[in-house]
Amino acid sequence: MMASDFTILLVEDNPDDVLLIQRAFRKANLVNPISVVDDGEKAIAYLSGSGDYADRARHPVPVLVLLDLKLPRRSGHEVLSWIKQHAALKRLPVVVLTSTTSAPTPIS
Amino acid sequence: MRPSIIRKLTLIYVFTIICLVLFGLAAVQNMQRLRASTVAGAHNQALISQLQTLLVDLLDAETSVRGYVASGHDDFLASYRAALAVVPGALADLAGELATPAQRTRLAALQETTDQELDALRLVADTPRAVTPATTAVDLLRSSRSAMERARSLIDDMTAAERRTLEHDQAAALTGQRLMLEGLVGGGLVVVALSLIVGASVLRDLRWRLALLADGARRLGEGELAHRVAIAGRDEISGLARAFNRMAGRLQDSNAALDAFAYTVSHDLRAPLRAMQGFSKALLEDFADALGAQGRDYASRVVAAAARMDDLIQDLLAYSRLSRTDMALSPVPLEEAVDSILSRMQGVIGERNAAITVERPLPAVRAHRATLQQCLINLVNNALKFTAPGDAPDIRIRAETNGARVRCWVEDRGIGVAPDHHERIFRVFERLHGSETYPGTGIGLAIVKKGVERMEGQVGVESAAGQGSRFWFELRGGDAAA
Repeated sequence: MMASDFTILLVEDNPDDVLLIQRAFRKANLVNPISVVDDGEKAIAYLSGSGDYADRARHPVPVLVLLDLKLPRRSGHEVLSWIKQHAALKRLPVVVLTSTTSAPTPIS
Repeated sequence: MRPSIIRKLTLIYVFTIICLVLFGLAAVQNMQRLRASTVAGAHNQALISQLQTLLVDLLDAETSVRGYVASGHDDFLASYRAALAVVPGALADLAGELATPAQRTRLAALQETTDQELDALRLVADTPRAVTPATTAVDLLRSSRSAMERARSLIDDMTAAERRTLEHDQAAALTGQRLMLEGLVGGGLVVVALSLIVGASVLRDLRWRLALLADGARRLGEGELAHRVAIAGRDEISGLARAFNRMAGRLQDSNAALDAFAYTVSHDLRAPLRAMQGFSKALLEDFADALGAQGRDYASRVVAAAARMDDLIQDLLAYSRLSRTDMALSPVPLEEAVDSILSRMQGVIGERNAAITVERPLPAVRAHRATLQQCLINLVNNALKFTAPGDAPDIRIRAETNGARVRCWVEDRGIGVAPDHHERIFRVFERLHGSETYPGTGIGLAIVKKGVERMEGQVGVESAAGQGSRFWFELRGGDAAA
């Protein structure tokens, strides 16, 4: 398997941040394909492979999720707790992207 | 439901007033009755003495006529004549003054008897002695005497009747007076007791609930915004408690809104900044050659400006968080806090080539750990920053225990602060220098002041321009009882 087989899912609504993250990956010579969704609902749809994301050939299950907390429709916290409820995604690592120094609501 | 306190007190008040008025009316009425009975008593006495005088007059008249018959001398008749002159008047007076029908009947009988006696006596006295045969005179005297006896018994009856009335009146007056006194004393006691009981219960209740309110206000003041005062009811105090709870709720809401605002500021306001910084850095890294020297300078200025704004936002957030965070104080070893921040600041300290001396051991203080560290960081940063350009900062951290309080000093040999500015430097956004020489947000020392004050301490500085600064903050010692 090649690194290009390991898709990374980026959940981020700010196009600036998407660009900067993509540049950072380029700079680090990481060739993993990055799928980008811009709200929490789409993130859940992607992870569950429903709707527009039913085609697993085009939208493979990611090996890593980069998750912004402040998102339209469903927040990063909601996406996170949705992931935690699904046994199939139990081993999926999630990196939370946030600029806040303090978490206002603890993630349980 | 609790009746209104004001209404309760008003009821006690009105009840007492009504009782006082009733007592007053009763007293006045009683005095009037006493006066009336005194007047009636005097009248009775007068009647009795009138009756006695009448009896004496009648006896005198008879005796004097008897003396005349026995002696034959005219001068014995003086008393008889005097009686004749007064008796009809006396009888008329009595008729005008007797009150009861029984007495009037007796008076009529007395009138008749008296007339019989006087008529008999007149027959004896008015006839010359020589003319009247002795037997006739004796008969007349005898009839007069029997009339006299009847009159005496009538007068005795009447006197006795008047005496009875008098005694009855006096007894009634005495009883009335006694009842009145007993009523006044008993009623007074009842009123006083009731007022005391109701008043005491109102006061106890009031004190208890005021204590609850005061406790609530104290806890709210200490930042326990979720605390509510549990006072039910419809009276003034529970109204106050409801208003208090509403206020606390509003405060909690606005605090939550502030928290949400702070979160929004820290997240949303900093996102564009991050983009500015990120893309400027990308420009500098990816297009350095194409930009040229001037282009690179501009791009670096964008990076620096964005970084300054980020600092400013961070400091403002820290400052606003300080006012709202619950500050639970506990003993914190000052030495541990100092070591922890010095190791965190190693980078900057090395950059400035600074010498930092800590005078060990340092005592424990009552503090909020994170806030204490924030204050120390800001003071050390301040000392690092305000050194004459080119000089290496020389900083000394020490503490002195003063009774139950500990004063911690952060001293430098930097540019110092003129005494005029000692107050100003602790205010938000106060800066003494242009940002070119000494960059900063102007919030650092304000954070120290607010933080120390939230930990129930004081902050200050001893310094003169060019002499270095000795900043201090004073907290309660960690060993002292809370």
